[in-house]
Amino acid sequence: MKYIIGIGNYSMFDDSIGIKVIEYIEENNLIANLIAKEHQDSIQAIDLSGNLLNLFNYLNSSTEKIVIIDTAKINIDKQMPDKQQEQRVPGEFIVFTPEEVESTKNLANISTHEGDLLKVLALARETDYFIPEIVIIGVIPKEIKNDFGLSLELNNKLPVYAKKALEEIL
Amino acid sequence: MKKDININVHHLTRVEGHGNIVVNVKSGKIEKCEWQVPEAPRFFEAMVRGRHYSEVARITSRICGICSVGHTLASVKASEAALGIEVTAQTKKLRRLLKHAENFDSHVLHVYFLVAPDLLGAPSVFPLVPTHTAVVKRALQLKRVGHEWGSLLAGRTTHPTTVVPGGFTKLPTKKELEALKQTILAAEPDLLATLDTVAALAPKIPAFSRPTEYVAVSSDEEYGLYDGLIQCTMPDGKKERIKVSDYKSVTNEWVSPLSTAKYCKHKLDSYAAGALARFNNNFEMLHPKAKEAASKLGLKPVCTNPYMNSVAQAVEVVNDVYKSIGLIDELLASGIKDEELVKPTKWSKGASAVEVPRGILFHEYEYDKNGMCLSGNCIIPTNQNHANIQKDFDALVPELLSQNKSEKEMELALEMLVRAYDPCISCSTHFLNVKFVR
Repeated sequence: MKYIIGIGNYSMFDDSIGIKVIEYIEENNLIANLIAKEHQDSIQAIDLSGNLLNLFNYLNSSTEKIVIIDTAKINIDKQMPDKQQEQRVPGEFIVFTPEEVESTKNLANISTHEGDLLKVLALARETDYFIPEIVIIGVIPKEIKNDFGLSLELNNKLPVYAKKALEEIL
Repeated sequence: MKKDININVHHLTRVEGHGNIVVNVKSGKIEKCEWQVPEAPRFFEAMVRGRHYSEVARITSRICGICSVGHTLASVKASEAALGIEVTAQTKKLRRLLKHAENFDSHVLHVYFLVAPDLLGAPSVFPLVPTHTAVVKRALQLKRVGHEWGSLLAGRTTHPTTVVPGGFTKLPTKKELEALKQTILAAEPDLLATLDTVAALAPKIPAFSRPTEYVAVSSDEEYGLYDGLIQCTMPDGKKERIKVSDYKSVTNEWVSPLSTAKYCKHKLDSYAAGALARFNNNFEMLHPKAKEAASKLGLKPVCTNPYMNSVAQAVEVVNDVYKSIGLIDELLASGIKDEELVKPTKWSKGASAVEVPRGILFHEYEYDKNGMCLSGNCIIPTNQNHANIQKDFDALVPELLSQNKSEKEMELALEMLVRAYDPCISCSTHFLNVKFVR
């Protein structure tokens, strides 16, 4: 199986982008409309919200690939002359693998709300879970605040993120 | 010795959301002792106004990513009360089974990932991986069982899709329920090992007692999780039951300057909600195996040590497993029948009480004749516990000072106390904050 997984908090504005992309894929029936028929049954869109530890349910040898959509703040390291290091504006996204980055979040632990995806994957590696191919689509947020909805910059690009997720999963 | 203590824990870790602990002691005199909840409130009540009854649970399930099953159940039950919908016995059983799944899943996370590190002297679960590999793997395996269990019934464990006013939009098959039973039964060895782990750690739980009032859903039919009346148990064991529609006479919300969340009080200055409150109220309704577990773990009602909430959670995990096996057997015996969603028979106001992992949760809605929501109210258990946590602080800090505890020891004791309540202050964010290394 292949999974497109959205992560985020629905009520923290742009932090909800991962969930909104999954909703967009489901509401517009994009897996049926844009994916070749022979692949449709092997692809699922999953709203994981903030239950990051539930990612473990998809870490097994029957999972071929996972594409994750999440909000991402990119810290520029000037010692890394790479195009990924360019300053990003809200609404832009960056595609990377977990191995390409390290988390700069200073967190004490993994809980449902407190962890981040990279820490969950680190725990999976340390406990010998099978890690399939994983690609992350990190969307640069404009604003993370206590509110529903999305900023215009992100909302307008929902079709773009959804299309990218479907391209990456194949 | 009259000493100075300055504890300032900004954004306590290993709790869900943001809360602060501030204690200042000067020359042995307590100047400040506060559990602060600074997060801004979220206005879900306003969000549901003007929405059709079929949409409301979808919105309110977003209040919490962990308790989204409980919020969905509380929401549909309140809507059903307002709309005069009486769901079938099959729906009630399936919802109870789902409620157990959420309780199981959340408690496993809390006991293993948020509480155990304190008792093992570790700052987080990560240092425990090399030293307690089997325990961490067991925790992840049990989490997986909880996820499969909830997903089968709810469509997905986060923000259920199948639970709607009037029933279920999708039912599990006989084969799926049989498989679920086998999955749960296969977790029995891990369950027993969990009890051994908790029993081994229990002596490290701080000895502290502060009698308070305990409020929980209570029923003569079940260990009050999905349905029942509101029950209050006083420290002397006296019990009183109150109609769910009178929930505001229990919660009595008031505004504290320490918190953007409201405080609650009933007969005393504060009350406790959560696993320990349920245990104190409903011990007799536990499955015999859960009673055995309580005995093994040294937990008896009425327990007035708030740190024992985590032990009560372990007891409830056992209860969830065996009560669910019984429910599955009943469902299999009667056969799963396709049922139409029950339609509204009136348009009015209705309230519900459901136990979520952190305690009793109230929802209330009023609908117009078109089924559109006129008003909504939601009182979450964490808010009901804030005043009780503060009262615990007021009692605990002088005790710790009299025991001549160091600042660090006091800080840990207060952090552990808050964590024991398993508060879900407000969902925080999960964004990635990364730098490229390749």
